[in-house]
Amino acid sequence: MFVLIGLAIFSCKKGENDPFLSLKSRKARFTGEWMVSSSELNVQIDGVLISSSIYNGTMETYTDYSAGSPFSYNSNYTLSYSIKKDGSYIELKEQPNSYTLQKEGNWAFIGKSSNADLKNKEAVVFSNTIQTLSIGGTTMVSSTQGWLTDEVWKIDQLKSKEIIIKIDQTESVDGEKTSYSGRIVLSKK
Amino acid sequence: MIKFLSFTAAMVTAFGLFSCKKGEDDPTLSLKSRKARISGVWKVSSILNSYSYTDGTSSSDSFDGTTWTFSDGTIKSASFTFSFEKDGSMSIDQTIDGDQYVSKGSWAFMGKNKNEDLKKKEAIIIGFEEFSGNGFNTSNSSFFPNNSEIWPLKRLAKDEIVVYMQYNYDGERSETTITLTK
Repeated sequence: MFVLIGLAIFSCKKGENDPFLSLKSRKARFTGEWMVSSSELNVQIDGVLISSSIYNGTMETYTDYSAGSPFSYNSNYTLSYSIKKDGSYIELKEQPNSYTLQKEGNWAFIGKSSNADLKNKEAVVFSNTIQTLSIGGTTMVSSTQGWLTDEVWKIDQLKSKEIIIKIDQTESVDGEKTSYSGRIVLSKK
Repeated sequence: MIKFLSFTAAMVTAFGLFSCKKGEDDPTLSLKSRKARISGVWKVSSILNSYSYTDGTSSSDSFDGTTWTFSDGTIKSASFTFSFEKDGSMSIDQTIDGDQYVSKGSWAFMGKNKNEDLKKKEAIIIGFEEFSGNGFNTSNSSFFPNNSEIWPLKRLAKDEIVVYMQYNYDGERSETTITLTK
């Protein structure tokens, strides 16, 4: 009886690098105010690297390998998420003295799918409903209603103060295969 | 005390055996879990797509189980068969004017979202992973954002599923109702 109560209180491991046990539910750990502290993304076509992006929390270095000599450029911005318990979220990208892009919408955990090798609540889907772009005093707003799959995060690690998203996806059209690999690290504000 | 605990245990067991209403038109109670009800092979018996535009006009396309009728007057013969398996795999066989298309992928229930008044397991997410037909072949990872859809289930009964999707984009509106039968 006490073993059952104990197991019910603790939240179990879903993502590969999750804590083994946690006193907090996945929802309690996932909600809050987050900054993207680092990210990396490599894109390959048929095994050949065509672009890479490395972000350190304030600056992204994007390198294009597709045209012979690699070409890199930097952009400075911050990226944050406010993830609420009621299922709403706000994503805010701010580039100083340039633009602000705010996306609002809804999120929900995805249930188990053995076929997709996905445990219950191991992944999250985001559906954007309002996008607000502010540039130089001008604001443009577009809005949608309805559930769309704008982003799907596969959670590799979900801790109270750190989330790690694993990116490992491929798409193939008539034999040409594009692979996306990398990760996003979010730290509690 | 023992009688009270026995009664409470019996009530909890009874409620546990019954699956409760999630979608608006769900059966009030069901002996089968939502996963058990959705699993199986389904034929699309009807589809209705309605569109409203910012200029005040509207249009619609409809499918009655054998024939697509489009708003421009085009008519096509068609059939759609869905298969949802308990392991989370899914497949769709389509025939449109004699051309065959096959999609394979994964499905999973969605969690709860209070902000949108979505109950747990009220909607499913479908990820299309392979598509072939008409000389065209694509494949991608499970639940790739560009090739996934969310289906809110207005009704999930053991022999009927009704999917209802509604989208507004900057004032233009579309509604889709898909009815599947066993």
